[in-house]
Amino acid sequence: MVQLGSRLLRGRGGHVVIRFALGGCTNRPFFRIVAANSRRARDGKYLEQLGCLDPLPNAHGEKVAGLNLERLRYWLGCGAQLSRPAEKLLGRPGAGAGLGAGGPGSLPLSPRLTGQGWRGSCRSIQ
Amino acid sequence: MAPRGSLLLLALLLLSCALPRARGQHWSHGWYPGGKRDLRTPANLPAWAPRAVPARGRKTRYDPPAKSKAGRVKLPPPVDPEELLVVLERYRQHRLVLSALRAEFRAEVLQRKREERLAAQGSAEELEEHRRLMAWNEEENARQRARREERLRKEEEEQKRRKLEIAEKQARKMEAFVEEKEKEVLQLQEEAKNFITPENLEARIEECLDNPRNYNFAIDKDGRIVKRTVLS
Repeated sequence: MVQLGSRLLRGRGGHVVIRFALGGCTNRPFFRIVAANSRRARDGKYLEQLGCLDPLPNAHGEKVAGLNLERLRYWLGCGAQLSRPAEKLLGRPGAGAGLGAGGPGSLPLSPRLTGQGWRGSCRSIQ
Repeated sequence: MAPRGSLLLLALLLLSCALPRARGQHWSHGWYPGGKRDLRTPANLPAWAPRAVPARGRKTRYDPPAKSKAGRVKLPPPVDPEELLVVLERYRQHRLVLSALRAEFRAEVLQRKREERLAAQGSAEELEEHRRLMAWNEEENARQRARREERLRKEEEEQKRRKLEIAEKQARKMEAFVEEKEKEVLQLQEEAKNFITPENLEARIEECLDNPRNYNFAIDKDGRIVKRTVLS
């Protein structure tokens, strides 16, 4: 038996969102990249897990993220929206190259990623 | 008594004029800007001027705002136009590319669904047939498109030619009209030499009186003058 939350059954609104669900312990965050209904809780029931992200740098100083590009393309094709951090992550060159392997190009570098750089360069020029 | 009464009235009037407007402020009427002890005259701002709308912190929605905030005007944060332009352009590009990618992924998803459905339904021959028919459809579309473009091009040329003709006709009409008017003007100028003006009124009257003309004649049906009566 499928128990749908009553909030989801209200009859209008709600869309699929690809966002980060927070997990882990105190002082040790860990994100799961997840496709879920927008009206669900952040860590609540999701449609599918599309990857994970470790925000703390590892022994080599890297932050590691894993993505299921196949399913990601499927969900984007179904009209899923992206949250801001998800957009930033997918806008980075590595993820973009994987997504655009079957298509024309990578996801564009989000304006938010480049905004600070522009401002900084302006300031340095002045 | 009367002079003293009048003196008292005068004194009261002077007093009321001399005292500054000591305003009794009440929070329900709104605080006057400047605070309790402000002796300046009010600014008399127009009704559409921005007024203070303070944010809520310690107080509730129904508490009156503080007197020191009565004249406060909140302005939006300043925007650097260059940065705004750059940021807007970047966002536009970003959204353009993103929507294009989404469209592509969507096409992929739909294609896969269709293939699944077809594979579930029909056999390989049907799929082959479908593909062949689709190709033929594409060809037909291309052919029709070529024909349509040809037709549209011809129509455009026709329209241009017609417009040119109309313009020429108009120009010619205008020229003819102008010529006619010029002729009329010249004719009028010619006639004006024979007009009677206040200056030569006297002279012309004298002339008419000196040369009497006889209009008393009869004509027959052929237009020849038959009889003339003598001027009396």
